[in-house]
Amino acid sequence: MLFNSITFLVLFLPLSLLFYYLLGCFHMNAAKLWLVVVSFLFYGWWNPQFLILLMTSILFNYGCGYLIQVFEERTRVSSILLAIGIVVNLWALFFYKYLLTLMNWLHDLGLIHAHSWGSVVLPLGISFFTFTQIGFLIDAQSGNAKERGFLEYVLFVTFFPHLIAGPILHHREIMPQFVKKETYLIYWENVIVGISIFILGLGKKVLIADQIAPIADDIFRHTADKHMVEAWVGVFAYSFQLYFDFAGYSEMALGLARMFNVKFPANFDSPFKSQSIIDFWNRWHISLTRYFTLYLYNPLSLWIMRQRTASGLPMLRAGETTWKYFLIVLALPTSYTMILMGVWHGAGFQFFIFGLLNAFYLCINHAWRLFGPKVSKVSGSRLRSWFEGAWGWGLTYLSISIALIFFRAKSTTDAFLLIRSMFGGGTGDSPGGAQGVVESILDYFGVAVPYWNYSNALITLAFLFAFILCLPNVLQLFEKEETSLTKVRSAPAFFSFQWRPNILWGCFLAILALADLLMVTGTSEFLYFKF
Amino acid sequence: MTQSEILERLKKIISQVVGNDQINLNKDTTADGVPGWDSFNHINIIMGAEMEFGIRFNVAELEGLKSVGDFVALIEKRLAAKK
Repeated sequence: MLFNSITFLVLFLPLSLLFYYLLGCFHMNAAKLWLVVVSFLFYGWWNPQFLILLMTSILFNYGCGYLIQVFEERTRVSSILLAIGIVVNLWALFFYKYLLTLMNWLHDLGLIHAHSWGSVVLPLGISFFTFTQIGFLIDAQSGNAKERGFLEYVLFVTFFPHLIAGPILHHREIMPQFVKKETYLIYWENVIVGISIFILGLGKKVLIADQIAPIADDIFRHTADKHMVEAWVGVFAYSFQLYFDFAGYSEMALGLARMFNVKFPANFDSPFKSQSIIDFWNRWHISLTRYFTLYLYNPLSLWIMRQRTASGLPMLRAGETTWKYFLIVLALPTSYTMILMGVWHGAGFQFFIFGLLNAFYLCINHAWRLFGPKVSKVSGSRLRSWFEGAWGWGLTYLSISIALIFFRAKSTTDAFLLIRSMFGGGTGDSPGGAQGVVESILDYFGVAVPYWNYSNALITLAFLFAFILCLPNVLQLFEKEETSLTKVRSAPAFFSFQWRPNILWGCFLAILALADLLMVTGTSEFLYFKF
Repeated sequence: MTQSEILERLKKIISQVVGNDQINLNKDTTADGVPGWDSFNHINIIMGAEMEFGIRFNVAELEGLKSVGDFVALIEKRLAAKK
């Protein structure tokens, strides 16, 4: 079921909330059970057969985690159990997500000769619920996941606002909320704040992301024959489609959880305002970055450092770092983490390149900080600091947009063809290079150019840039309501204001909700659902 | 070892790692509030603390470190576990 479907908005959500609070008046376990049932219904709506997979995964991981907790004092036993748990989870993920692509690849290389091995449908949200549970097993082994309640555990995994596309939650931040009695009692301010955030998120999805999707779809359909400006418009349009799609989803998830008195960690904090790639990854899909940093980057990085220390090599302080030290201690774990992060999104080679590109960007960013010129923030003029900020912002946005071509393209070849078109190498009959730019400007001023019909798209994109750069995000709008479990990183917006429970906001949100409902198609999936 | 002793020694490590001995650190300071305390230097600070106090952290514990105060509490916990 989709958050942006009439069934969800008119039936599923109101009934889920109503019975949740009604049952919560009698006994909190009844409300918990109800939430588990509706969450399974939410998941099974798409394809009931995968409910068995979800239930098996939950039972296996709960059992494994329980045994790890029981054998907490016997490190060797709990480590073996943890290893078994991780291998089984990764095998399930590999089977559904990567096996078929691997078989096709081996077939293309002539290494295997079978003609057909059927097809595998990717179960919705498998990457998310598998990673959530691997995190739980690791936390259980290190003594950071204490609660053992089965019903709460099932709720932690299946709670429908995060089940399909995150945020990826930590057991320790959610379980304490599910065992509290107050969670199951109605607090109108939470319901109102939750609904307000949800309406804003739904607006981003149906009024913005879905409206610019056709521009990106059109250009990514045939990437080879694109006019230079068309190609750039397509790349920018996709970056905004993904941005508003994921921002919308994350806000809807945050709002839905809040309606049920549950707080999620922040997952999206105006990433297109970032002035560096390091900053970008701390604001985009924050819970995924947090997960990969904690369970992949930190362990490898610490292991390398400990090995160096054991060999008698020194830990280098700021200003002493050498390139060799940088490559071993930073570039290696960063590349490993980002490549795996890329591949986590899908089996195609384009996701590998997406990860590799981001690793490259991050390494350059870190290297610049370590080896680049040191400019004192205090001594620089305001104008200079503004230009530095603008340069950092432009470079970050452009780099991310290029990486996102690999994220969106059907294949690596398609992605490279589009990049070629962006630099005037398109194969179509439209002129590229400076002529194309001039003609698109002429078109803007009313001079007809037959193949060019993206003037409106350019205006829309400029408007969206202004929207992102000047207005506060949802975390800032609702800062006083402590919307998320984690703090906001963004600096105050150019136009800074706060949500208030008053008539003005009520009217605005009512009109927005009506517009949302009129534009809901119920067929447009969130882009992150396919991961 | 008292919390204030741990804090003093930790301050020295953080200052050395980020290359700035002018930073004003207290228990409420977070990584966001210290220029240069990024994911790379976070590992350097953790490693520095492990060497300074002769302890070893669990990976899963590191995410819970939201402030210098959390860091001090974790070091105290690890020192107690060592005894």
